[in-house]
Amino acid sequence: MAQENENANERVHTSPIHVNGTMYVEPIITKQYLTYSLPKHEFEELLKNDGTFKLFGDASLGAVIGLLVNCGAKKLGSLIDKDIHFDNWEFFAFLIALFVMLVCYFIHWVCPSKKKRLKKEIITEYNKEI
Amino acid sequence: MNITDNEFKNYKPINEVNICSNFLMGGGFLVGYGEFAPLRIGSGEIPIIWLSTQIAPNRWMPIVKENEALISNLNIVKEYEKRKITISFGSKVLLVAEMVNDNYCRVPNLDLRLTGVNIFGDELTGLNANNTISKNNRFVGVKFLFGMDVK
Repeated sequence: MAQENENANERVHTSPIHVNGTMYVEPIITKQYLTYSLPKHEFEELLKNDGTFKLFGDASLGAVIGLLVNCGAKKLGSLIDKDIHFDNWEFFAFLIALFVMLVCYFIHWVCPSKKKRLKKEIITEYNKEI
Repeated sequence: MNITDNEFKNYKPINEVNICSNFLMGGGFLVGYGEFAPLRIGSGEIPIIWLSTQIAPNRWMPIVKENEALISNLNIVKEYEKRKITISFGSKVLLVAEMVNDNYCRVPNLDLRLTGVNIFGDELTGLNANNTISKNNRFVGVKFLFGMDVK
């Protein structure tokens, strides 16, 4: 009550009541909606590509899918039409592409990079126990 | 997070708003952080609410835009017959507002502490902002009821 008396009440104001301090209290609502403060240099890091091995891996994945479709189609065709021959080299080509793809993805996975570290940091921040 | 003016393009001020016994006449907002108002109550069939939460001192994130919750766990009850809206988080009521008529809105209960803004109150005790109490006051032609400088 004493505090109430210190404040101007039941009056007409033509300017706002000025409040000292930050008027900030811990926001319970947003505790579960934390934001990650992303500086410009980190944002630029995220925009960069994923590295050579990732690029080769992705290209090899395309080749793997293409060769697999080719093998499947030829194998099926050879069962229907005796003039269509399924050659073993086509299957080997598929296996080589698969091997190259796996090696590239593995190297990409084990090699450290700034971008991967940064992504991990952001994920950790958002998964933090509150 | 920066909140652009475009977010509030549908905002229409209300002539007279009674916030916990304090009358804001001629349009205006409850509180201003510099020029930013984290709570806006606009005119409509029921009061149209925009509410932002303070995630760090003077950093804002919108949580209610035109009466739609932007985060989960926020419960918004719209009662069109009573022209009333209630926003709550769990069991805690953040805001109750009702249009008494097209030019007059009443806010009997308010508690913005969960949104990081230290303001709360009701019609009996008035408004408490950082221990500054305002009760039964009239604010004429002001942009904000409570104002604070932002460094």
